Amino acid sequence: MQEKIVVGMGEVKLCRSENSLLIALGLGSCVGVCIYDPALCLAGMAHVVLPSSTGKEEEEDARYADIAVPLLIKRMQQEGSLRSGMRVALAGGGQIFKGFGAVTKLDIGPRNAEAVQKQLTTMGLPIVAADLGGNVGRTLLLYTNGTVAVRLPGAQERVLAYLGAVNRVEATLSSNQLLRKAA
Amino acid sequence: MLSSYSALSAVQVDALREIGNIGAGHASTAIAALTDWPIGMSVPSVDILSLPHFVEVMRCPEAEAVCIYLAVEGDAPGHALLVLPLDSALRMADRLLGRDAGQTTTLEELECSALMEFGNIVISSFLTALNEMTGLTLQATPPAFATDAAATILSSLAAMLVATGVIQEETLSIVTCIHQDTEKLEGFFLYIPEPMGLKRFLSALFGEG
Repeated sequence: MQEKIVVGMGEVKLCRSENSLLIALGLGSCVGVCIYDPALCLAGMAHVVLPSSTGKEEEEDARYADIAVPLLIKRMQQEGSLRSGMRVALAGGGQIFKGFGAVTKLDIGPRNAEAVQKQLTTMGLPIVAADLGGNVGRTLLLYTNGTVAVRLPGAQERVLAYLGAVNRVEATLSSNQLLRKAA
Repeated sequence: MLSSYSALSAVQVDALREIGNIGAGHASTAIAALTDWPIGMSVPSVDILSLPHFVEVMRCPEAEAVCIYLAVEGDAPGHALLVLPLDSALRMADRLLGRDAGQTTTLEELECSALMEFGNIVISSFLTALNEMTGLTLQATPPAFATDAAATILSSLAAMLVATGVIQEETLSIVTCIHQDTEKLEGFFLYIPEPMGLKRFLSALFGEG
């Protein structure tokens, strides 16, 4: 039985047990950040709600891109991940309400997408795959084998990226290097 | 101070449920008048949820739905939503546009605009009931429209409410389920009072601040 770990708005969660997955339900303007470390089979996800925490300096308030992304990376590092081994995929950042006034003026989706990408660049993490923007909601799934999938409303799940499998050789290499370093 | 919703007393929660009850009662009457169908409704629930769990106010967060949203300004600011599961929305569009059942299969501009106007009328009658009950002025802004998974709609709305400072750590919503049994339609009516709006409601009902 596969265990689904739901990552709610403003949450950061990690998972490494086999047969599990991290899932962010119906990302609209929110952005789901998946980070996977193939060497450790460690999966992490952040569900970012807003681009910037300006003025509200609370270290662990993962609702904001500028806090959530570094926090997710830090949590992965605490589990033994190296930044150089982290592989990233993103989804979300859409614009859902077709309407007037304050609803669309805020433009949260595109700003979230931009803020997350900027934050990742600052932290030196390349983005392997991204499914951002538009006006559709996405459910984002990250399996502990590194497969990232996106599901649109009423549609089948579709693979966005394999953050694990493709680079298994590279992963083995880097973990061998680690072992050598440790020795 | 209502910095924490859990500080609400049982009597206050009951009063909010009653607000929901009367408001949704008026809204159901409006739906019945527009569609010529008998409409039933559930007793409203008052849910206090933290942000990560907010989308759980909907029973099936991944199901496709249509949402009409209005921001409420005036004495007691808040946010009103009518959420219709896709099947129910299509059937409702049939009825509103005078078509045979099952004729509407997609939501194009005409269908969306009919549903938006429908939501507008329904939510406005909810607000009128609240106004009559409390004497507070409530003005609705023009409606916004969305079709997507319920979780997507709710989380995008919640993001907006966090951005504007309405939602801090948790949020309170009054949820009523409306249903039409012969056609098997259902819809959800959500009202999210802003903390200030909630305070005003309670003052109006209990006569103090």
